[in-house]
Amino acid sequence: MTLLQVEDLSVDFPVTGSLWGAKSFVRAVRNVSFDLVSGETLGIVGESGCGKSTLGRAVLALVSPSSGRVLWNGMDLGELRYRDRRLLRREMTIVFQDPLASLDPRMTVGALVGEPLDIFEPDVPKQERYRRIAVILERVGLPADAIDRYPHQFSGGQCQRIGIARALVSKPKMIVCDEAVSALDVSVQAQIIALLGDVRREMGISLLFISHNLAVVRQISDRIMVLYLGRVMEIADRDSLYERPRHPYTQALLSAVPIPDPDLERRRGRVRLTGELPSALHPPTGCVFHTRCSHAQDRCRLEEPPLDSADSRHGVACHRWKEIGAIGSV
Amino acid sequence: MAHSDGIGTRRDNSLGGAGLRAGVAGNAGRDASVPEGATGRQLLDVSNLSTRFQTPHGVVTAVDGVSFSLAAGGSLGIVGESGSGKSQTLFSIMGLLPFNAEIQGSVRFEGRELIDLAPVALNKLRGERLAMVFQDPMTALNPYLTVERQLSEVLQYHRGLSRRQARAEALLALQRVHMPESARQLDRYPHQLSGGMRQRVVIAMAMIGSPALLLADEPTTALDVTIQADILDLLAEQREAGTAIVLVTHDLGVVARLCDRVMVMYAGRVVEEGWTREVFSHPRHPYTVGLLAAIPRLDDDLCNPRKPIDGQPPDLLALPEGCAFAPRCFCVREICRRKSPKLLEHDRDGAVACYRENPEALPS
Repeated sequence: MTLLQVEDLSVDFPVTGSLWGAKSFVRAVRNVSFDLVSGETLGIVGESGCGKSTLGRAVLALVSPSSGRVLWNGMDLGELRYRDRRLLRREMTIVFQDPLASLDPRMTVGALVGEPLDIFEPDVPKQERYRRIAVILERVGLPADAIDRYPHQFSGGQCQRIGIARALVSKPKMIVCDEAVSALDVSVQAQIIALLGDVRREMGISLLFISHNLAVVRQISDRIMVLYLGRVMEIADRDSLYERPRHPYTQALLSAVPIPDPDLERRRGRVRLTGELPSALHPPTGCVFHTRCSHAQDRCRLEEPPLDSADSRHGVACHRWKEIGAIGSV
Repeated sequence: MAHSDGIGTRRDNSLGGAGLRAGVAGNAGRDASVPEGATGRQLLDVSNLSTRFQTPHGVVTAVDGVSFSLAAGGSLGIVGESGSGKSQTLFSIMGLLPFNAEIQGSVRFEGRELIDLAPVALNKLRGERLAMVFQDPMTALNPYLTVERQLSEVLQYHRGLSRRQARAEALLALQRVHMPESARQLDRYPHQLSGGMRQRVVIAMAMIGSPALLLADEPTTALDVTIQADILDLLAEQREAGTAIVLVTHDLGVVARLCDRVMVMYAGRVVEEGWTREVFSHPRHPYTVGLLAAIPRLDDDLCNPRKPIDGQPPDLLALPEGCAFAPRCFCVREICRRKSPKLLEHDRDGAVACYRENPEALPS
């Protein structure tokens, strides 16, 4: 069942150059469309400034789109009244990057995790509320006595568990994980990925997993969308994307990720990018990637490529993907 | 010869102890007092380095008896999690510690003892023979100075060049790090550059005196993955040109790409050291084993999920007695909780600090 439909979504942020200067816009997200079915995990990858976090926020209606629609169970979020949209936040929650900064230092863990219940289910009796908090804390692997303690008494990984408990307690249908493991130590990252994977399976939750780490995204996602300067470059099922990446940008991204195997590292080829990331204020004409692409031709400089179907579930926005061919990364 | 390629580990990982250094042939000779300027092949020789910080909450031992050496032109990766002491090891070598730090042990660089070296003499070495690249290129650069001024400062200080000569040299330095449109960048300020370009400036500054040793503290952590790959290529180029590199990172993939040798740290101590190939294919310390099994790789077999290391990273203010990794270890023994294992060399030209690997170290 389709839970979330994003149709032609664009988000612009106004920037004024000077006091009297003409207003210009950072085009953070441009004409992005995708569906998310219930229980599915979509990974969103790209480098800094590609619009992946903005997209996550637009899906939750935390920033408003300048055009396009976000449909949640068929309802257009933009047409809902503020109160109704707010109530939807129990179904769609978010886990942030910095675990400590996203928790109020003056609230106990019990109060933090219970806050969504206070808002969405104020009639839950005290005992039941306590029980539900305790259950969820246990589920995310926190000790029972955590309920009366404060965030600063926990390590980064444990704080992220608190953040996940907070996102889970209202029994959501979808969680947006915005770089949820990026700030954690490597040995703890794997714990949190495993936890997210488990709760998603048990509770049938969909995840929008936003990350710059392609190896992490591969662990948890069913499908992956690659963004560059706010545009979708490629979207495909996991194995299709990692084994047969078609877009030159995806190929470059994958080949840049170092693998902890010295022999393999020596053998692997690299797809190199030329030049620097263009400014999102003045994105290149035509294909936004052409300034860094070694395959670029005149057509790429003039015409923006549509999201072409390589097969039914593999979309690629490149004029020349057929000639370039799929290049594996390992 | 065991250390023909140069990087070896001293055997003793305990504080203040002098013992257990003999053994592998290559090591034995080095321990005799070496005359000034004639260190043989060892460029850097760190022995029993300990760095403690006085904090309001107590004394933190950030670096705890670390010993290693590095040959001219060698490359060593130091990996570990936050708080493992990997960055503080670099700062201790470079003499960049805050006032509340107390340092013990010895750092010999090109035959000279760096610890207790007079600041004037140390300043002469830094930037000339010894250079450092920091994690965040924005804070490593002075926001008020143009790229040219940042670079020529080094040249004017060390080589006494005139402003015009320095500008010409600065341009060459930028070209050597493949800075796009290098002539134009000279007059720009750091905020006008992208992260990758800033890191190129920082590397150009570090390499401008053609140092013998480059210390790099997470040089690519703040950068995007495609930029990271370019910066790693650039560092590899410096290594090919003969500069030895010590690279601190939490990314094992980066080590695999750049470093011949690897040293794994946990809670301020070296737990394993050896050839990168050997350590990555046959890790011996349970922490190294755990790390390699936990980190998601691009080429993972997804049918075998990654196995996280249980538990939390150690609190340096409340380290357990014995081995700091014991509370998270999958093969912990009773002795591990009482007595910390020493770092002992093994036959594959590496060393490991674990009773499982070194049963002979068990007290009878």
